[in-house]
Amino acid sequence: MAAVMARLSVRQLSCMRGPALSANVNTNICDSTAKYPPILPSPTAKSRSAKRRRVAEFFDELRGLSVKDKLTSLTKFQRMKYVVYPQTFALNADRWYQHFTKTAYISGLPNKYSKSSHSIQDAAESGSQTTFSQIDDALFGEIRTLICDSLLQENCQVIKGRAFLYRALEHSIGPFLRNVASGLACILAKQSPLLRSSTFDSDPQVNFYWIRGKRNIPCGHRRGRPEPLRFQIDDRPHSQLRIQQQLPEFVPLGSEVSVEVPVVQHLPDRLPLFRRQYENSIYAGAKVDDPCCYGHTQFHLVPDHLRRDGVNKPKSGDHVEMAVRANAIASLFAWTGAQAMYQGFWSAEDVDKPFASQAIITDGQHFSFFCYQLNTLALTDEADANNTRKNLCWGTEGLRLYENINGNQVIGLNDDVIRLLVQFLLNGA
Amino acid sequence: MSRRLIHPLYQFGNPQLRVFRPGWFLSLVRPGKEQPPDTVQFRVPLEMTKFDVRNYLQKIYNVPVVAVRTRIQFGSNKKRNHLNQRVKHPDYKVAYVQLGEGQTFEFPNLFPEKEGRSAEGSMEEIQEKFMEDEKQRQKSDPRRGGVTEWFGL
Amino acid sequence: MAATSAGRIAGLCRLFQRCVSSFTLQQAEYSSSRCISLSNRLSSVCSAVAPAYYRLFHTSHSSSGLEEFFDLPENWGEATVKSGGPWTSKQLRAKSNEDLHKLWYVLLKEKNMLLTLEQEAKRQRVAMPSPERLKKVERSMVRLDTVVEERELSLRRLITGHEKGRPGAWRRSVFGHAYWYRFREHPIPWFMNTHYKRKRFFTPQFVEPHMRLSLEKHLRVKVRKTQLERQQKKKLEELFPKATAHTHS
Repeated sequence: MAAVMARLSVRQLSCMRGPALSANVNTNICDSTAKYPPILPSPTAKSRSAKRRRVAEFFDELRGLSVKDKLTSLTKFQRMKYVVYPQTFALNADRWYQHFTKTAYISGLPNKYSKSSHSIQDAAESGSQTTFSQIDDALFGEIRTLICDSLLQENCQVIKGRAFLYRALEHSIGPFLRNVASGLACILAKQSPLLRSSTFDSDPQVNFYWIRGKRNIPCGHRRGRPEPLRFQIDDRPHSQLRIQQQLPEFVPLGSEVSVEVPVVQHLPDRLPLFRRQYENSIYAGAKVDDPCCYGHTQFHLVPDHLRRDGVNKPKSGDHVEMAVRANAIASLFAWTGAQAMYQGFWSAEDVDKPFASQAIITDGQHFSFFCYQLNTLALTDEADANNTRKNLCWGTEGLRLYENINGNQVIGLNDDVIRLLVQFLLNGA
Repeated sequence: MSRRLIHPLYQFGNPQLRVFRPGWFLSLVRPGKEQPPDTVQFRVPLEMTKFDVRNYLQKIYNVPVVAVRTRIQFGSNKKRNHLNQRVKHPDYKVAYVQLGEGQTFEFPNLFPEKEGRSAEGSMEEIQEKFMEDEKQRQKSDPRRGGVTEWFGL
Repeated sequence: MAATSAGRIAGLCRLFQRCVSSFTLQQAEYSSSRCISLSNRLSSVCSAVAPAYYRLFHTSHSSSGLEEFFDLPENWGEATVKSGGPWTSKQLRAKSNEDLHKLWYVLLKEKNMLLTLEQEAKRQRVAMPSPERLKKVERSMVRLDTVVEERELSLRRLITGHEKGRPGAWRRSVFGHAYWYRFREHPIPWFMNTHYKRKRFFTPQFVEPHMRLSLEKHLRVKVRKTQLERQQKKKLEELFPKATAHTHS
């Protein structure tokens, strides 16, 4: 107010006395408030600068809110969005999902596990593994018996009724996986303090909502204007393990990775991806207040049309692998993203430390292991302009756990796969 | 097969229906919206199903088809003729076929510009010459340097 | 203008030469520049055809059977494409069943190609070159159908004694007309089929006056016609009496 007054008085003086200001003019009041107030665009005008100001003010407001309020504000506004299904029938879905989530897929597991995965692929004897110093034979024997018993129980001993149509795997392999996962978690809790304070969820929900890329609206009253593409994942993994501390990162945040993120020029409609409008939800398996807010491992069952037994012949050899990869990328991105949002990070406030999670996708016999590291949540157009970070996903192909089940015998149980499983669950201990 | 076909009823255990001499005709169309390189767009008869399209292309054209998605396009019934009667455009089914074995397809340009046609037939040569003369006559005097006739001198 | 591939075909393997003799009317028939597609069909019969004669536009990964949806690349952009006449029923009756079967697919592919071309021409707002080819193919296919039906009919008559392949019966509709009702296959017997039972194959009593009236109408029309003919004959006899008629010698 004083500055305004001072300005007015100087101007009045200048008008009265002509353009040249004499030295008698008192400019002290001006000096004390040296700066003019910032010239801001009007918040209510219909102009691009006004829109920018509104957005900037909204973001500033968001930065100050608590996590719950932040999530509510970010997901309040509902519009048509693409619903991304992790278990999809679409072809080349893994490339498209990599583009949507800015993920680079690296085949093979990170260095932590690479030794054991090499041994599985070379089918070499892995008698003495340096990474397995924690496991002694008795524990390993216990784990083996657990797995054999669960397998035999499901395949031979329990009398099962008819499964639902196209949901046979849930019926047959679901209980086996639940037994193995929870049993392993219990057994390894003796070794790992992390697992002792963990939570094992059965059939949890994982939801994530994000914005990536933009398109020009083709028709309607908003035709020609740019619109961001919104995505939503609603995932129901078979089971998951949540822990109280964050998993250590697989690879440091700024490290260079040679694999590139594939870019797809077409709209998501071409992979057939359909749009719906409903509640935008971000959920990591439990509410925000839960102490076990970080993720450890997810277990997924392969969808029925991708079974590898003689029932359905896959159309091309790689079809199953691609679908499993797409599943892993989508589910893990959703999970890590939700975990990051639970800690208050979002596209304008990027994660400071990478969030890591793991997943195991199986159809009973073949196990595929995946590791995911979320390095960036800034996927919107404005935030992604100068973003060099990308998310990383490591994965294996399907590794056989056993060759065959004959009567009351499991033939050809692969120890390396069991070891890798154990390593996976002991990660972070 | 001729029109007014009725295939035998299928009940569980019946042999697979074989259609010899199919009476369905597909036409490859240029996609209206940009499609991924492995997707080909066809207009198929309304009675064809996804399985029919797949078998047709695999058996007759030996094309490796991995996925087929179809939709029915409603032909407009809005336009009216000079008697104010509504004119119905025919409905048709569009099939989006995804090719396997890494194959790609791009719709070619079926009407490229061709040179040197007039030399062959004398009639066309005369016609072309006449057209060229007409165009020459219509052009303004080049000495005016692009200035139109409106400007007096 | 259109590339004649007769020379190209003549250079093919001996097996095909044998088949060519059965298709003696190569040049005259509607084979046009697409004969090579027939060779592709027949090549599944022949064991070894030199691959150089296949229509290879490009040897890259994108070559596939989809090229058969388009004409030979030499004909793209031409104003007219030469083609012979359609197959006549007489010519088709001379062919064996296998040849007719193969010809059906040749014609099918040709028609698909022409439909593709037609649609693309509409899209580019350009005239389709030689649209009469479509009609020729259509007529050839119809005649092929009739020939095959004739053969089937004669076989059926010989073996079973029936003329119609699909069983049926004379039934009376609700409106009083008698018509040949052709049977359909159903998974359930007729007395359990509510939709079928709604369709009445008898004429109710109140329709009889209408039947009588329509019969009267039909008879009146017939009588009128005969009377007209008689009158015209009478008139002609008056004008040209028999007495004055003389035959040409």
